[in-house]
Amino acid sequence: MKEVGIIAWAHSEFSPRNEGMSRNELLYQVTKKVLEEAGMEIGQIDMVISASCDTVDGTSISNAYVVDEMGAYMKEESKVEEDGAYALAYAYYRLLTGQYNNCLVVSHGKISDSAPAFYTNMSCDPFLLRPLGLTGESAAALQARVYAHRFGATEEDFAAVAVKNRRLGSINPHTQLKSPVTLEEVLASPVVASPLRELTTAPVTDGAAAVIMATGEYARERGKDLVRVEGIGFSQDLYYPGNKDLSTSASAKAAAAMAYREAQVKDPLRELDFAEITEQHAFYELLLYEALGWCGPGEGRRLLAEGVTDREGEFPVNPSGGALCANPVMSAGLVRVVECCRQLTGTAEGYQLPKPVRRALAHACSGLFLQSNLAIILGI
Amino acid sequence: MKKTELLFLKEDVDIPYNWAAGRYGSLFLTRLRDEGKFIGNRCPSCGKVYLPPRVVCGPCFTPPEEIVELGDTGTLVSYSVVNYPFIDPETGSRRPIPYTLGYIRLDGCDTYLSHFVDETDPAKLTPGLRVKAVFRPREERTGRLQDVLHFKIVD
Ligand SMILES: [Zn+2]
Repeated sequence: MKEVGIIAWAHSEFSPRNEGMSRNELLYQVTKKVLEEAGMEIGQIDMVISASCDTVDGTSISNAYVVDEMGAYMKEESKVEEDGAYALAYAYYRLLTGQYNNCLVVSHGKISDSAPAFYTNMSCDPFLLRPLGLTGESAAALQARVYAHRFGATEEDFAAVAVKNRRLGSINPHTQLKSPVTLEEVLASPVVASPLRELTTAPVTDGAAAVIMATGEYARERGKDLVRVEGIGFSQDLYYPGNKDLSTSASAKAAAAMAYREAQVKDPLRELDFAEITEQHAFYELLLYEALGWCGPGEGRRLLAEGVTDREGEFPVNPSGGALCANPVMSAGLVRVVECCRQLTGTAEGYQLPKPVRRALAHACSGLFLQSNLAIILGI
Repeated sequence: MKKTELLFLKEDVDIPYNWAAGRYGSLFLTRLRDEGKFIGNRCPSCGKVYLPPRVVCGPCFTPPEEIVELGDTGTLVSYSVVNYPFIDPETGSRRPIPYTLGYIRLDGCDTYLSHFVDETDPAKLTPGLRVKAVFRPREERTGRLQDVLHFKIVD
């Protein structure tokens, strides 16, 4: 199969409320930054694939609004209404056709212009879920209880994820929350929706991210190192939460299986060196260890407690601090890809993993109750 | 350079919709309104009973055509005591916090219904509790999920 990968990456600064910038300014800044990283001019870009959300942006077909800023003037441009990592998947398949040399993938979400609860409630069924006021937080809370009840996991287990990721984030100069927290602080933080607390839930983040994808030939011609895409998998579960098993994520399992098959990974824990996953809630991380095939059902907390997924462990997960340290809406998954690229190229300055790394998994998700999941295997 | 004063445009968008409930949705909601009864449907292929009734059983891609009448009691599968404010579309104002959201598996069905539970004391909540639907008085029902006020614990 044709070699396709990533030659440049960038993301904006992350903040809970970027008052100084409009969404257009945010997007122009990140597009300029990724072009600079690649040493390219906008005229050299073959096509643009964007990711954004109409409800977050408050306009329908909201990509139309930011064409100028993402450099898509007179170019092929299409939008994915999912996390930017899904736009990367789309770009990957287009580049495999051999019809293009490269693609700019760019995602944005300026959630502070709206409100997270509004946008997650708007994604709910208007007959059955929306009138109950269900939002991202209460949906996750209901799922956390199902997971905890089935496996006997406790609030302490969830808190331990937050402690690990905030500690790892504290040495990542690029993230939003840079202070470590103790187990006591997490367990004393206010209850958002039981059993979720403020510190086991991702922060609100404005942000944008971008990568430039290219074929192997194009990267070599330009003398650019390529972070290869070795496999991609994604999958959708049922919509209505009452119709599926919430103690796991069948679509995360299916996505990982597809990515492993494509990348010929048989034993992910041995054949991959680390992972970056979108744990917008602390318990997601434990549930995803299991769904992504790194341990058996209910064993996520053991993997964490044994230090396997810590910075010095045999399989570090979220060495960047993950989404619990910065959760840019529509970009959190693409930022996982960026963080994998940094580690794989040895440019995670200040938080580079101590062991050599050559192969990683980046995970993204979309929808309430982890409805849709995506896994990408990256290698150098 | 003089610092620019940053301005914001405030807008509250009212989005007009008149959602079609369709055949199954209307059947579910009219029986709720007129008889205070829950209606589900059963997939002929896998036997799963859906509540609320679905147009199609996703895994089988088959319409669950057999209508099943369910009782008003069930089991609490999950719950969350919610502590953050939410603008209630019923009243247009903030719902008082805390309030409790639950997943209820009604007796005789295989799926969970999301609804409110009339108990916010964490010490009195646990998965597995028996619950029963509390309906609004007949004259207040309008054919919506909110015709059920909440579920109460009957253990
Ligand atoms: Zn079926």
